[in-house]
Amino acid sequence: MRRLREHLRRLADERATGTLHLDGQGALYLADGAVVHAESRHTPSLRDLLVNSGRLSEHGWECLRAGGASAALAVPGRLSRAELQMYQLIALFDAVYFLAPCRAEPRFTAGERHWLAGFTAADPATLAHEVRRRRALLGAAWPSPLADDAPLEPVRRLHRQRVVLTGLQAELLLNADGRKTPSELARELGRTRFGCTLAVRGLVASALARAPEPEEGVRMPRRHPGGAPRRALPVTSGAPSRPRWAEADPGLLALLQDALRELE
Amino acid sequence: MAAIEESLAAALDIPGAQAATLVDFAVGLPLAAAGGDRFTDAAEDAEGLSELLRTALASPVLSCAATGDDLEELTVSGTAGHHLLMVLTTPLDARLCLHLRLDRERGNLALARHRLREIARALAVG
Repeated sequence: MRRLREHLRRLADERATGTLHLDGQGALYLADGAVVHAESRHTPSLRDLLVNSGRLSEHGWECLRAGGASAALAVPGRLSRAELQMYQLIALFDAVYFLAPCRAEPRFTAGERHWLAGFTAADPATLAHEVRRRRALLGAAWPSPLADDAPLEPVRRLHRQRVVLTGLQAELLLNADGRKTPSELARELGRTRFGCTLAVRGLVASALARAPEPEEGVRMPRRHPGGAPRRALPVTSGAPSRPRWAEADPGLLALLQDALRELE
Repeated sequence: MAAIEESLAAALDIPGAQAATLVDFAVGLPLAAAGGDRFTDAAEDAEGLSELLRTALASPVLSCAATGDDLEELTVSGTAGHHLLMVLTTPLDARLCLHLRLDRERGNLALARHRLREIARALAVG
């Protein structure tokens, strides 16, 4: 991220307009120094977010692209200007998050303004801050990154009385087939890859999805029983963490106690 | 003129309004902010608000239907002011909410709720 951030800062000072290429991984589009759009090989495109989610038809998307900045309201599906701005920002932050670890040297070519330049934009400081914050968010949900790129496997049996799911988590469980990864599900459903990755980490933390087997010598994080993903203490990425005791679930302990009493 | 900024400007026009933000609380991302000081204030607020909303959503006690209903609005009133959180309905996978900070002296809670609800409805056209 540091190299990318330095490039973006310099381009912001120069108020540059053009494309910052990242060696086949993707690109960031700048207008007057601010980032108006980003594309990554690893994340759903703006088109995917709009069309695959069912918000716009393919025809609607074509109209939007053809009309450019002024056409949003005229598009079939009546995408308001505000809504397009929201999709634009969400797609932008998603792409930038997964472009940030890219080790390639960024290459800038000055050029035309991107068609999304008339809507909204983000500055480099905001982007850097957000990438850092998202990394911490993922780590807090579940410390291991193994589930991020592995097939999402919902568990077959639950040892819980009830579960709390966000809408997205439920959607992922319903669409999982034991083979698709969170990234593939994101593209198919028209959801952000980060949103799906965060949701899957939460599912693994709640024992609703199978945690992929770690390699030899790496310790598995301890699950927290009960409820939606909680904030855990931050774990530094990379180093295997010492297992922490999970919080006791009093309801479960009470049930266990009753069951043991009956056995006497 | 950019449309999200228009909505935030309209929110700041509400009597007693001090700051307004549009937040994706699924992820804790402030999409836009108006009235406050620096961006990082909006970022911290967004994170705090997101935790609060996610906790509220995850608590069965705060739902009014057996199968769970959707959160629409959350108001927190203190001695110095009110916080209004209005959840937007859009088909985005983002969970969006409009946050308004209202001064206790100059603000009228009922009026602010009514106006903010209208602004939220206008934003969520899809």
